[in-house]
Amino acid sequence: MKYTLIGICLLLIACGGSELASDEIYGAQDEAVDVIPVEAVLAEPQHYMDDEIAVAGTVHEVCQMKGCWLMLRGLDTGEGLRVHVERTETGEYAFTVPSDISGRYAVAVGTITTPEAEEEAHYQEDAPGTVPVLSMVAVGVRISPEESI
Amino acid sequence: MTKAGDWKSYKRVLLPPVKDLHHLDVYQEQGGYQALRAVLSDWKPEDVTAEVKLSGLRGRGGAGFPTGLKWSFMPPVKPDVPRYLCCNADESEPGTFKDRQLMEYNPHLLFEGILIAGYAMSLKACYLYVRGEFASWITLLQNELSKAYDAKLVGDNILGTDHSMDIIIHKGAGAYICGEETSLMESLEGKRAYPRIKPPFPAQSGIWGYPTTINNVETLACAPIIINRGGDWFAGVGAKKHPGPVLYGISGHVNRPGVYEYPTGMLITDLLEIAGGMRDNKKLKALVPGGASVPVLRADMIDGVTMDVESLQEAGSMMGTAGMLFLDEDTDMVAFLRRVARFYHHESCGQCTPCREGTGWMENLITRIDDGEGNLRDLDLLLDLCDQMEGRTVCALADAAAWPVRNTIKRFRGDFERRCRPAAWAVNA
Amino acid sequence: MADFIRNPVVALPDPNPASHFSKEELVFTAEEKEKIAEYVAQYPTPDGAVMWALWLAQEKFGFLPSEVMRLVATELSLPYAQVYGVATFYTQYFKEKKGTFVLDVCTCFSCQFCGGYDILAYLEEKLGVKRGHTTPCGRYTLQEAECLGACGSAPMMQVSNGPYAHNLTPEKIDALLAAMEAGKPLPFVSVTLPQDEDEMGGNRRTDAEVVEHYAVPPQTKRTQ
Repeated sequence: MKYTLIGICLLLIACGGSELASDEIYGAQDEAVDVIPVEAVLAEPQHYMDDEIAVAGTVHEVCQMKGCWLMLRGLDTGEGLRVHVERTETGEYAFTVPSDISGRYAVAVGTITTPEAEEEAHYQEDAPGTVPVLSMVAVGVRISPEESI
Repeated sequence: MTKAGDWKSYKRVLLPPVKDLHHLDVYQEQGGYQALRAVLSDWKPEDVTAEVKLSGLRGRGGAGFPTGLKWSFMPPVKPDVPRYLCCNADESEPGTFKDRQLMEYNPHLLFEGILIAGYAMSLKACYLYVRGEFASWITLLQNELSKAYDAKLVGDNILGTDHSMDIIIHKGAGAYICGEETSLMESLEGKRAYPRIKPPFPAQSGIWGYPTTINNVETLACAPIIINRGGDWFAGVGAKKHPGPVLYGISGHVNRPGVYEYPTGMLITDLLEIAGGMRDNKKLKALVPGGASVPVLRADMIDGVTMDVESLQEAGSMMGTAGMLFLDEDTDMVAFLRRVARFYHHESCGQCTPCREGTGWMENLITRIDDGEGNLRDLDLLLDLCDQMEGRTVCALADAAAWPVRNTIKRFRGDFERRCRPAAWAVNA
Repeated sequence: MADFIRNPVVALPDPNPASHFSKEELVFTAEEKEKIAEYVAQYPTPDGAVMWALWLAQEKFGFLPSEVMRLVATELSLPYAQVYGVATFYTQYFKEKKGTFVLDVCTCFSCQFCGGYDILAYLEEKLGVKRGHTTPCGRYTLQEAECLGACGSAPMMQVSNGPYAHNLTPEKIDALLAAMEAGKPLPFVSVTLPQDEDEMGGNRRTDAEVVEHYAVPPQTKRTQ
């Protein structure tokens, strides 16, 4: 198995690499129907409340402890959407994202909610200075291999 | 939410009242394996997952995670990469005894559910991990499984289609930790059952490194019902956010303990009435709603509380496995907690220090209090110990050990304080 | 440090234990080998079959001393350390010799408050041994077990990793012990669902050997 993987990697390098790389998916693998840019969601959140939608944007911060949340931001605004992963009833994470995906383009699928004050206090401890307007409980995150422009 | 009294007209679906339903021929006469036939001939795999998502089915093994969503975590099919299902029948949570009866009385519903899940996720095989204590039930399952194999319902080219799937029964050997999904996988691989660190999650890298999904027995048994009656029917049964039929295992000081099938969202008071009320007309003192790990509820906390994720969370507990223990007014809560702590000490696998040492320390402290030699500050020490254990280990066993300790002390503090040695000076209570 | 190595806190296993079985006894028969091969075929690697093979060995030899573990390891071509690790992890694999009948009395959670400890105390008195010990005649080993998953029919026990005995009372224990003395195999007991009693008038299985009903648990004061 390991040797096959190494073989494939060598082949990829030989072919020039990135053209064969595909999106990495964490959590649910479904094809998202309509992908909405994060700016649109932040501008008119009331349209999207409590529905499952797919939001696209650039990853700004990621949880460095477990990979259980990330911040999506639009290009021109400082505001952000906090995406945190779905949990089980006992509090375990259903999936996590890698901690080195800052700057990458991502699509998160989930439900939009308003952040709870108590939760926010915890996140401020984790990564001070980030001000989300909205939060999302994500069931899946698709991360593009390319750095966003 | 179910209206009061609705349960009286409820018709059972997981364990319908049919004589000898565990025989393959009886099961088939009753319309068994119709869901599998329908799925294999007319459904696309992703539609099956979509239907399960629509049904709102949540896992019945304790964590209450949406099953359809879990199934959709499986990566796209790749040639030459086998994918597996593990059916978790390692029912060892104290107070839980529903899966054993489901496996005895309706094993083919479970097999059909496994096969439907296998089709939805394009799986190669399912390992049915049954705890070793259920040796007699393993024999029953093996008999019925071989009949299903003979009838071409399991194995290669199921019912003449291209779909093939094996069901393999694996016998455990007595370890509570094997109910944890990653440790179940380690056990299947023939190792000591030490839980794995996530990520990678089982859907990415499960048994032998292949994509794997782990579901509870009762969860999988719901799949044929969802296919036969439709996801919307299922979603309409019981509580809105936690729908479906559920097997309540009622034990303790009640007149009629046993496994009862009713919808989710039942009032706890109704369930107590169903179970014949408290023994000898005693008063209820405490209730554990979902197996030993979930926080205990005081009698005054259960008014209007229903058995579903939302309502129990509001009340300060969890649904867990719906194995309910009712305790009457004479119950010694210190002795109760002492035994629970001993259980976790015995069952801690020993991989992570906070859990291995913490559970033992907990047991020692509670034993000291139970023996009348504890100090009041031991109670706060116990609560502090809970903080030091929760979330600091690979798996959730340390959390599961800390929750009952924390909540029993919090909710029955008086009982504990009375057992401690009187303080010579004022302590912070 | 040296002292720690000479006197370890946890007793280390004896490097050269005396063998319990002769060389001739320590073999798997052709059928047993075939059975193990069947188990191996069910898993992608032979490792998966370790637990089944250990079960088979325990049924054959009664318990799993190191020479039996070595035999299993050889049969599966696995390192002895792995087989030893697995065998010592799980409580149902017996690492030392037990009585002919191993009585696992559940005293956990529901059973604690429904008379589990009364049954254990009754058995201790009746057999004349403390929990965790084997009778001098070598017939019975009395053990306290963690939850066995039959909480509704508490108090209960399991006999020799096999059948369950539900709703125990001292009289039932006496009858069970008499049956064991007489060498009768204990039957599989099917416990009727309360809803089946109401809707079907009894147990749903017509082929059940013995039927029990969920009953009001007995009163108890003993909790340890």
